[in-house]
Order: sequence, then C-alpha cells, then structure tokens
Amino acid sequence: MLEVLTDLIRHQDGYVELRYHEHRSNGFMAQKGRFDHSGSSIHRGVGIRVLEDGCWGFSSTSDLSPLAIEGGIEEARSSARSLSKYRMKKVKGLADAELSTLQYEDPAFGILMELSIEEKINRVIELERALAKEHSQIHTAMVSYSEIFEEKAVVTTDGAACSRKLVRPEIRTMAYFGEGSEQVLAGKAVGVTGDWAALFAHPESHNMIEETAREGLNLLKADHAPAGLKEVILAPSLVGLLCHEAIGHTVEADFVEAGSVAQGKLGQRVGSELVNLYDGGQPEMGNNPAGFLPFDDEGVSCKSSTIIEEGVLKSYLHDRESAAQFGHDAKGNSRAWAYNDEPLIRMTNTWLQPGELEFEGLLEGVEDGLLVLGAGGGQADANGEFMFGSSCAREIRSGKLGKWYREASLSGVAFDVLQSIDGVSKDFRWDLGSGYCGKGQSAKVDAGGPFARCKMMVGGRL
Amino acid sequence: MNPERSIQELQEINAWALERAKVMGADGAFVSSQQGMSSKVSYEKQDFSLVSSHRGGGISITIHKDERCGGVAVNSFDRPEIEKAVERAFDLARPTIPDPYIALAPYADYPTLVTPWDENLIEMEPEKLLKLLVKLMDVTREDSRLSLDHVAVDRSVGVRCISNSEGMLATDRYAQLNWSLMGMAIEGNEVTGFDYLGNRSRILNEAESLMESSARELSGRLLKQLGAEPLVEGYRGQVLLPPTLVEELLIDPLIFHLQGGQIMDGKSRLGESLGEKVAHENFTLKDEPHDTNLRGATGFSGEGIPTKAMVLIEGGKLKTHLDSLYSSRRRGTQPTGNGSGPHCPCLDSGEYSVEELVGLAGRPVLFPSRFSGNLDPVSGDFSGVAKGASLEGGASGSRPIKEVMISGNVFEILMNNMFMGKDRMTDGGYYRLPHVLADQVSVVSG
Repeated sequence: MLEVLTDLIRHQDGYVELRYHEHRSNGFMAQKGRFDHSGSSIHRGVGIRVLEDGCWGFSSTSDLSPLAIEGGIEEARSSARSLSKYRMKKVKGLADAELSTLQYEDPAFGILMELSIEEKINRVIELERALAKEHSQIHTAMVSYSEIFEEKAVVTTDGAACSRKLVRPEIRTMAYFGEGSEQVLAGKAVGVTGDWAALFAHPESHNMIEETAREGLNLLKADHAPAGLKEVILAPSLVGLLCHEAIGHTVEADFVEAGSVAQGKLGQRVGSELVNLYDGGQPEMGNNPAGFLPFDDEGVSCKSSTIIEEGVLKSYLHDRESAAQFGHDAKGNSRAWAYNDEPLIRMTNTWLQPGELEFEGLLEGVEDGLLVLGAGGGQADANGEFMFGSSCAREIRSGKLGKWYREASLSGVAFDVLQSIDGVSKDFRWDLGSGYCGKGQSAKVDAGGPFARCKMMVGGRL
Repeated sequence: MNPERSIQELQEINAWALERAKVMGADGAFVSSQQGMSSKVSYEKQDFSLVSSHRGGGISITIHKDERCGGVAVNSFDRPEIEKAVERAFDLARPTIPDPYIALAPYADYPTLVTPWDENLIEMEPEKLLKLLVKLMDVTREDSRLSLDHVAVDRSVGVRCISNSEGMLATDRYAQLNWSLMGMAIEGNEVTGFDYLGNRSRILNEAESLMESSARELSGRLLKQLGAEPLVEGYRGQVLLPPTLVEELLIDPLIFHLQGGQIMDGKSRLGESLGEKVAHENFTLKDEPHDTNLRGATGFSGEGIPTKAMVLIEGGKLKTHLDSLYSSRRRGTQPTGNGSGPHCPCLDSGEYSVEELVGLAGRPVLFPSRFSGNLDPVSGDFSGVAKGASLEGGASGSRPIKEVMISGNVFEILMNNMFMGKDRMTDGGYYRLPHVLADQVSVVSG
C-alpha cells in the first residue's frame, strides 16, 4: 500500500496524512478442559487526516481503491473547512521532525504468521491442562493466547513515507482456587513485541504455571492488606503503572494544555534525585517491549524523551502540533489504534531508570511496610491523584518478608510519591506488556523499571 | 443510507455466507453483520479540534463442524474476502476440543419493539453537529472556573443482522446522537480531579435540552469539588451510592454470580441459591429488555434467543439465573437470552429522597460520585479511591472531600441494611437505578 498512498499524495496540496492500517488478531482460550474461543479478525482501511484553514479534518474508509481514498481526502477537507468557522486558535503549523522513510519488518512477524494455528491452539490446550493439574485446589484453570499482526504505512505531504510490520503476542494464565465464598483468583500475563522466543523468554513466563499456582495458594491463606499510609516497595510492574498512570498521562501535552498538574512545572523538582523517567518507542532498556514502535502515526521516527532527570521535570510528550506550540521536539508519540481512529498523543514504553541497590538493600531499610506485587488496573487524574490495584502484597517487618496479603489498592499524589522515593534497585524489567492504555481509543503500551521504595496510601480494611 | 435497503443487503450477504459454510462442509453456522456511518465533532485543548466521519461495516462468521467451532470477522463485504473468512473459520475450529454442548439458536418469532427512530439523524451534516457542540460549550463557559478537556458530539446510524443455518434471522437498526463531556474545575492553584458525563438521544429535537442538562450537571459536580478537604477520620459504616456506583459496586458483581456460565465453572457463589435470600429485603432487581428508553433494549439476544422481562431478585430472594444457549445446555436449563447479563438492569426504587437517605445514616456519610479501583468479582472484595466525594449530613451540611480510599465486600453490603432512593436515574440510558444507602464500607482517611 505504501506505493499506492505515495502516488495518491503526490497530487495533494497542504498537509495531508494517509495511513493504511491492517489489524489482524487471533485469540484462543481454553478453560476447564474445554476450548472456549478460537477466533480471528481482520480490519483494514485507510485513515485520512488533513490540515486545512488551520483546522483538522479526518475521515476513513475500508475501501482501499484510489477512488475511495481520494473521496475520503475530499471529505476530510470539507470537515476541516466546516471546523474553521468555529475554531478560535488556528493550528499555525507542525513542528519539524525526523520524518521516517523506513520500511521496517520485524522478522517475528513472518515467524508467527508461519506458525500454524494448530501449534498455537495446542500450546494453549497443553498449558491449560498443566495448570489444572498443578494443584488439587484449582477448580478452574484458564489459559488464553492472543496475537496482533499490525501492518501500517504512513505517507504525508511533507515527506514521511514509511511502513512497518510488527506482531505483539500475549499469554495469560488464570486459576480459581477454593469454593463458594472462599474463592481466590490468581494469574500471570505477559505481552511483548516479537515472536514466541521473545514471549517465553520474558521473566514472567518462566514457571508461569507453577507461579500462578503458588500465588493462588498463598492468597487462599492471606488476609486483606492493612489500611493507611505505608512504606512500600513496588515491584517493576507497579513501578511501570506508577510511571504510566501517575506521571505519563499528566505529561501528555494535550493533558498539559487542559491544565494537568504538570502544567508550568518544566524545570521544577517533582521527584527525588533517584527519579529518572523516560518514554520511547525504541527504548534503550530491556528487550521486546510491547509498545515498540520505529515511527508513529504521523510518520515521525521514535526517539526517547527524558521526562524527569534526577527529579527535575524536563519535557512533555508531543505530537507535531503540540511540539510546534511548545517549541519542543516531536519524538513519535502520536498514535491511532485502528484505521478509523484519529492520532492522539500517547505513551509508548515508559520506564524508571534502575539505580544501584540490590533488592535486599531495599528491604533492609523497611521496618514496617509492604512489598506490592502484581499490577492491577489503574487510573490517574489531572491533579496528579492516582490509584492502582495489585493482586497481592507481602508484609515487610524489620527488613524481612513476612505473610501474604490479598487485594491491595494504592493511591497517592504523583509528584508527592516521586519525592518520597528513597531507594531504587538495579534490576530492570518491562512488565506491563499485556495491558492496554485507554484514552478514548486503545493503545498497546509497555512500562517497567526496577523495584522502588516509596510511601503511599494503602486501601485495606478497617 | 437507506436503512431498509441496508438491512436487505445484510440479509443477502448473511444468506450467501451461510450457504458458503454449508457448501464447504459445515454442520452449521452463525453469521452477524452490520453497516453504518458516523460523524463526530470534538472540543479539546480549549478549542474546537476535529470533525471526523466514518462509513463502514463488516461480517463475522462462526462455523460448527464435528462439535467444534471457529469464528472470523472481517470489515469487508467483498465475496472473496468472506469466502476466505469462512475457510479460515474451519482452520480455527479444526484443532480445538470437541464440545457436544455447542449449539445454534432455533428459529423464533421476536417481540416487536417500537424504538424511537428519527429520520433527521440519518443525513445529518457535520455543520449541525458543530452547532450542537457550540451550545453545549456555551453552558460550560458560564463559569470561568470550568476547564473542559474533552467534549464530543457524535451521530451514529446503522443496521445489523444476525442469522444462522437453523433458520434464525433477526434484524435491528439504530440512529442516535451521543455526547460526552470530561473536565475539571480550576481556581487559583487548586485543580479538582477529572469528572465526566455522557448521554444520548434518539430524537434530534430532544437532544438540545438533554445536552444542556448534562452540561449543567457536570458543571455543578465539578464546582462542588472546589475547596475539598481531606477526610479527618475514617470509619466503617454507611456510604450513599449514586446510581453509577450502585451499578459498578453492586449490580455488576452480582450479575457475574447469576450467570450460568460462571455457575457451570464453579465460579459463582449463587449457583445453588435459587429461592434463597441473597440480598436485603429492599433489593428487587429486574431485567427490562423491552424498555425502549434504555440503550440495551432488544427483542433478541446476540445469539438469537427472544428476550423477555424477568425478575432476577425479588425482596432479596434469588428468582432466576441467566443462561446463554451454551450454558443452558450444559446445565440442563432453558436459555434466557442473557448470554452476557441483563440487557436493561432495573432496581426497584424505595421511598426516600436523597436528603432523607442522608438523614437515615445518623452521622455524616460519604457520598462519592465515582470509584476508581479494583473489584474482584469472585470474592466480591473491592478497594479503591472514591472520587468527587462529599461528606453529607451532620452539623456542617455538605462538604467536598479530597480523594479517600474505600473498600468492602459486595456480598456483605448486599446482605446488610440498605435503603433505596425514590427517584431512579438512567445515566446515559444504560440502566434504571436509584441512589442506595449501603452499609459495611471501610472509608480510610489519610
């Protein structure tokens, strides 16, 4: 499609962006000895965005013929002209950026495309059977596998002409223990960009069956976490959630403009000196993050953004419009989930840089606290208040790990929590790759980091 | 778009796909197709930001073969694409585990619902949507302390058709205007948390006043949050839940345990509880799928089973479970047309105004507007942040409260004292629920 789009855009005036997107997904799920789901979907089309009279117009079509795409361009132009009567502040221009001409194909794309459906389904069945047999107290085991094959081509009138093929597989285990009102649910989930070698090399994939069972058995005996302000050590998945939910969203330039807590704070201290926080489509850390991107949906080559350096807020995340407005660089954070979605400012892979301490060194500093494991869902607010859940936690007493707790929710104010970080381990792990970020439309993202020690409110029982 | 012609086209496409599945050797097949168009105008970053439009459609095909099934969806009506999708559905079914309980819905006559249908929405130009958005924004501009991050108005029109190889055929059409607002209040250095609100109308002429109500309600909620203070002392006891949280914290987790699919997998704690007390006597929950003022109103389920009004819990006693075709075969029951829960959940109202509910508490009571947290449907445990909350009652009247953590167990709450408000709300048209004064919730200060 790259050639078709390039040919079509040649005759267009002003700024026009054409994005071909094929989203092919497969999903399989086995549960309690049966096969619950074997499905596939293919959605393809072209998203068309134009900037005319200082206004954006967007249209999309699933008809890939040049005639239909040209019709879509006219529709988008007409929409932009309608808007121009109402918009107060016209878009003056887009920031210069490194526009990609890359034709990227991850070898994993071909490898997973070639792997037979039978082999994928058999792996799911085998894992479900193994999990069901792992412990007599498991009454229902469930294993699901999904993969998204994503083909994109982005062409703009000012020089982007790039294409990519990526695949993002995910695997998830869930086990229900106990019976009636005394049931608990334990589970593990891993997602990467890459093939099965990458997926099953992830640390969370190692002993996934045994670890799911171990967690469930511990939770069966566990009490609810005690409530109150606590010293906590966050596992890498929770550090990832903190980076993404509590910080990342507040520095997306559209949220900044709307008045987020990060507005006007560039150059100010927002965290302790141990806090170095980044976002990037092609991160320097770790392997195969689920949000890997060589270029974004405006065709901008992805580079890492330093959001916080030694505790000082350094930059926001931008698309080309906001980058021009702020006088910053666009580094590839404009993303659309499907062909019929318009690009929005989104994170890609967001991480906290590791420090110097061993994990044991972090534990030693805690008299009475919690080690929080297993990230659940999370949300953040414009004022920096955030909440996220975890499936389980462990007591820390005098630097030693103690009993298990179930269902701990954490909350705080983002920059206050960052200020309280007083220890960061030397480990590093991407650990949010099985999740999706929601902002009106989905986005595949990843986040992670080391273990980090800080203070947070724990919402337990009174 | 001509809805009648579009439905006719979908019926022909479905019939063709079913025929291809049969020719390729399927024992049976189910097809679902839809097509529609939408346009949207949005306001972001303090300005009118985008006009967008989309036309599209697609088809999904599930084939049954040797007690196995596989399904493929494509956003195309090209015959070669559909043919490939059918072939692929066979590939997906072949390696799975045979399951004798897989079945297709039989032919049925469906109740005829008279759903509002406004022709004016079909060919509505973006310019008209923009004018509606301007009016919506005008209301929120009346107070400079309001900052709206995202406001959108969209119009969607479409048709859908489901059919299967057993002769089941059902069609449906929709035309509606949706709007949503999200924002915060800012005064000096104080920034409240985000709040949001949305609604919809199927009649263009009624939309304007409903939109104004939405804008005024959100504005009121946001401004009320200014000056919020931390909760000084936590407690375990009563909280006043608005309809949105009644749904999120009580109805949704309860529904999980009423579903035949969860019962057959041993995940439900109410599988053996028919006729037993599962909630307080004031709690009567119904499904009203033929209430066309609600979004989920339909005469047929997603798999083609006719829907009917049902009492799920009456005076706290469990009256029925909810079964899909599959779970009913597995459990030896009848399908209720509720594979994914009730279509239009409705909770009976009580006799108290919101002020009277506060008075019943006997002490200042937390009144959150939203909940951001985790809820484990299996155990019923939840914990998270109560947002947009106020403390109601006592000497100080009503005071906005900064975010506080709340936690509890859904089943404990259901079995304890609860009092229902007398006015039921539909909040976006998803349900019809009253305010509920619920007990046994931990409210954590700090």
